[in-house]
Amino acid sequence: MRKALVIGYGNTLRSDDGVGVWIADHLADLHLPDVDVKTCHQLSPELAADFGPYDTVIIVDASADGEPISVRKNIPPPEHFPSSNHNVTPELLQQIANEMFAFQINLSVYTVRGETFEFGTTLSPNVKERATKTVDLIAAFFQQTHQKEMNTSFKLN
Amino acid sequence: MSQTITISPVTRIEGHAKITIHLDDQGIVEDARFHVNEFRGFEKFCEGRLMSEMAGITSRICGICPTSHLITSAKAGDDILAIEIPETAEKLRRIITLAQWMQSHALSFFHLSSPDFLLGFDAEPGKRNIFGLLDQHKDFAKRGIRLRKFGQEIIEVLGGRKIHTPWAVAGGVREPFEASKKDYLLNWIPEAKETALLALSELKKIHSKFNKDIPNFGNFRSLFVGLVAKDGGLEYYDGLLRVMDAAGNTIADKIDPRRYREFFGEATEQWSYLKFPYYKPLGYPEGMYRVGPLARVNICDYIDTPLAEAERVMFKSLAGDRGVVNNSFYFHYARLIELLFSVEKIEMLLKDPAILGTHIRSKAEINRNEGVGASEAPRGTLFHHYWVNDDGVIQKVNLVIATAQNNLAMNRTVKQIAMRYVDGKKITEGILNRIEAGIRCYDPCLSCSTHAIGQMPLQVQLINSSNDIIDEIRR
Repeated sequence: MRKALVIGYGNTLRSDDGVGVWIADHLADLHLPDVDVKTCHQLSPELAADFGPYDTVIIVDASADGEPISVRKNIPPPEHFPSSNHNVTPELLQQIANEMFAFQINLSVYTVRGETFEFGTTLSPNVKERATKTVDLIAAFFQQTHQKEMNTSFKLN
Repeated sequence: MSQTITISPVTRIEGHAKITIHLDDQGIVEDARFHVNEFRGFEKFCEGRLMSEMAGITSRICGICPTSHLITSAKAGDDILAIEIPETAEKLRRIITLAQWMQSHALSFFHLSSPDFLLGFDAEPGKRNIFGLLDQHKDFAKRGIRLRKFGQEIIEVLGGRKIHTPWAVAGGVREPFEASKKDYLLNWIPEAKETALLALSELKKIHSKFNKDIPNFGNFRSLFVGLVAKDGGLEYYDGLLRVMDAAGNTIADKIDPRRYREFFGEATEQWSYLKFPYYKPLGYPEGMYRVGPLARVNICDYIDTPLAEAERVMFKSLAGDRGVVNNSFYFHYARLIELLFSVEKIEMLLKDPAILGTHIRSKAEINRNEGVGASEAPRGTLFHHYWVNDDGVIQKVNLVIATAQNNLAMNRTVKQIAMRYVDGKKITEGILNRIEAGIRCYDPCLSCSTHAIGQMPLQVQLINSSNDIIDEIRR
């Protein structure tokens, strides 16, 4: 069975900045089969070294603007690298995984637009609603994938 | 007409910052400033919280060195409880502190600074980064990632996989070390040691390549401050404060960190949110001092691991008759010596049977209304000072972070580089790169607490004396 990894990241002391972690924690509570969940304050290069066992990696983050919930899939490698920002982006993490470690992963990035980034340990009401929807979206994706694999496995047997 | 050139934000430095270079009427650099625009506000945020929450809260100050805040916060808690923690807990705290050094130093060298060194300051900006190394230095870049991974493995084995778990608590640590993990971690040591030695070897080759740049990279006299062990050895977790001058004279020694406010003041400037700590007996700004790897390796009498000690002796030879190395470029060299030390010392501690003890926490009530914790974070000495009421509720907090203590020196470094390279007519990529590289010597951490709104492009503004932007470049 192929495995998947969810990484939720952000600062849980800066209100909606922590929405990625909130979503990851709630997905972990669902105990989805073959899905591992990780949380971190920010992305860092060594995360890519852990991608080996996974064929799907989902990264969940907050955004300061854009759609309330957005999903990007089949993300191509970045055409231009930034002049090296300390904050590793999902695209660059994928690139490290591919080019340094030869891990081929399907990366999806879910972002939830935040409304406040001030000090605070709770999500604002609208963002909590978006976060709950995102948990459902990701869980549904995994359930569909799992069902397809079960069907394929049944036919092969 | 006098002009100001603004470089904002500085890339590859954690947090937000910009640099302004002030030109006089003749276009000659007369001043340069390193501005920090982000106001963190953690000290105020902590008021009213329970002391027991502080380790978990303050570890969120930084996404790169949360463990340093965790440990220093726990030490401030120890002081408030007025207790001595069990030997096992202290040794485990030491291991995780070193793991943090290893992680942070590896990121600084392999990912932030080595692109400058291996590809050159004048290389195309789009390629002068960790990914630009992949073509010719893939194994080198990969080793840096694995070294960070080793540090992370240690932190996760000790502190758990959840972010910011308050594993270190007032009185000790929450969980004992799992004996079954010892061999797993020890198996990493040969590779980690080889990588640290490789990095040192590469850096020493680089020194000759940049012999024209090095003399202008923060080469000035200042004090050096840090913790040293009671016998003068390199210290990272505990110890007493030592102050050394630019000629290598120890001007203050064996200072209990609790007395830090008697010796160090914090000045402010209108143009930056980052404070400007200084050594009080010399006043502001004459009391400028540097902390972090350069200071620590300068002020200690010895390092108690063999390979790092051999490197320290070579490092000190750079000082010649002066006794201390005054050039900030050699922060990188000192950082790699500490990286090697971390690997060696972690190995020693992992082999120490005392880490397997089960008495890991001493318990007590609030016995003092004030407590100070101090340790050596990757970037320098870190102080947490808490005032609590009898119920352990935080009344006031003072955090003196390492990066702030290097603030005066970072400004001096920027000015020196600008005076050497900026001719008042144009700023080339190479000049920008050198200024940024000068700041990166200190590996400053200005706060990465809100990453979602923290990703901005590099911006260069040319501003005249009327504050009009007359030119702007975005990278």
